[in-house]
Amino acid sequence: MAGPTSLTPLSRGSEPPPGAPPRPWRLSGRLLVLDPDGRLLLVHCHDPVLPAFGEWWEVPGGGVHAGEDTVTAALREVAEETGVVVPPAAVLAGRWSQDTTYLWLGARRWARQVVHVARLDSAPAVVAARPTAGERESFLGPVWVALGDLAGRRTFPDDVPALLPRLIAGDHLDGGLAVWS
Amino acid sequence: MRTDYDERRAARVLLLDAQDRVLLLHGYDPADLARGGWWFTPGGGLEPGEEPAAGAARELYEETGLQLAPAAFTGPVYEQVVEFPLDGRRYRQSEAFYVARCESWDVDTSGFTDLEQRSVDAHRWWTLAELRGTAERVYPDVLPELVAGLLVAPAREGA
Repeated sequence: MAGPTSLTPLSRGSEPPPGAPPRPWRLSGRLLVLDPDGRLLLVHCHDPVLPAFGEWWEVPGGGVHAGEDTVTAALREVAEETGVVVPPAAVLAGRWSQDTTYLWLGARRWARQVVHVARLDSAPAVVAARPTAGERESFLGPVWVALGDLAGRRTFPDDVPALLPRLIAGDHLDGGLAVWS
Repeated sequence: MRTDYDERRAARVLLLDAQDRVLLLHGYDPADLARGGWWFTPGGGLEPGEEPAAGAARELYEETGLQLAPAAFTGPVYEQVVEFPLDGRRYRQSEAFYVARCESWDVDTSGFTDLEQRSVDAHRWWTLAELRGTAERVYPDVLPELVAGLLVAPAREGA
C-alpha cells in the first residue's frame, strides 16, 4: 500500500491520503501583492521532480518562524523570494485561511496557510532575492500579472482571481482543506 | 503586534541509534480517541526561561529514561510554528528539533507524566525506509527528510 509519500498528484479537492500527519500542520503565511496598476506579484514555478505536472503561478510565502505572525512571515518571504519589499502599512485586513497539502520536490507537504493581501500605492523598493536551494530549483522567476491574464493559469493556492475581491474588501475567509496536488 | 493567542515553545528530539533508526512514540489524544493515534518524537513544552537544548534533554530523560547532557544535542535541525486550539484558547507553538545519538537504548517510560501514561501506548525504532514507506501517521511531515540528512551508518540497500 503506497504510503503518504507517494508522488502521484491527487485530484484537486480530493480527500487527503490515509496516513496524513496529525494536525496542526506547519503554519505558513502568504501575501497577495497588488501594484498601483492592479497587477499581482506571483512566482512562476515548476517542479523538476514532476515535469509532467506543468507550471503554476504561486502566491509568495512560506513557513512562519518563531516570533513571527503570518503577516511578518509573508512580508519576509516575499522579499526573500522576489526581492520586492512591501511596506507593512500596505497590508490590508482581509485574510484567507486553509489547510493544504501538495507535492513539491519529491515530498508531500502539509501546511496551515493564511493568505493576506497588500496594495501598493507606489512602486516598491526591490532588493536582491535570496531564494532557498529548493526554491531555486522550482522558481522560474517573479512576475507581475494582470488579473485578466490569470484566466486558464494554475495558481497556488487555487481560486486566487475569484477570492481576491473579497480579500480586498476585508473579508475573513476559511477555505477548509485544499488538496492542491 | 496584536496577539490573540498564547505563545508556547517546545523542543523535540530525533534520537538515533547505531543503525540510524529514530525513536518514535505512539499516542493519541485521550479527549478525542476517534481521531486515531500517530507516531511522534519525544519532546514537549519548554519551561519559562528554559534553553531549548536543556528542555530537549529533560524531555528525553522523562520520556525514555535516557539521560544526556544538553551539550550532547545538536541543532536545531528544523523549526516550525504551529497553531492550535485547546480548551477554548488558541496557542501558537514554535517547535525546535534537536538530534541526539546513542548506541542503543532500552526505553524506560516510568518517568511519564499522568497525561503521557494515558496517551502514549507504544514506542518503536524506525529505519528511514520504514518512515518513507509507512501508511501510519507520523508527525511532523518532514521527518523522513530530517532523518535522511542525519544518516551516518554505512548505506544499506533498502526498500
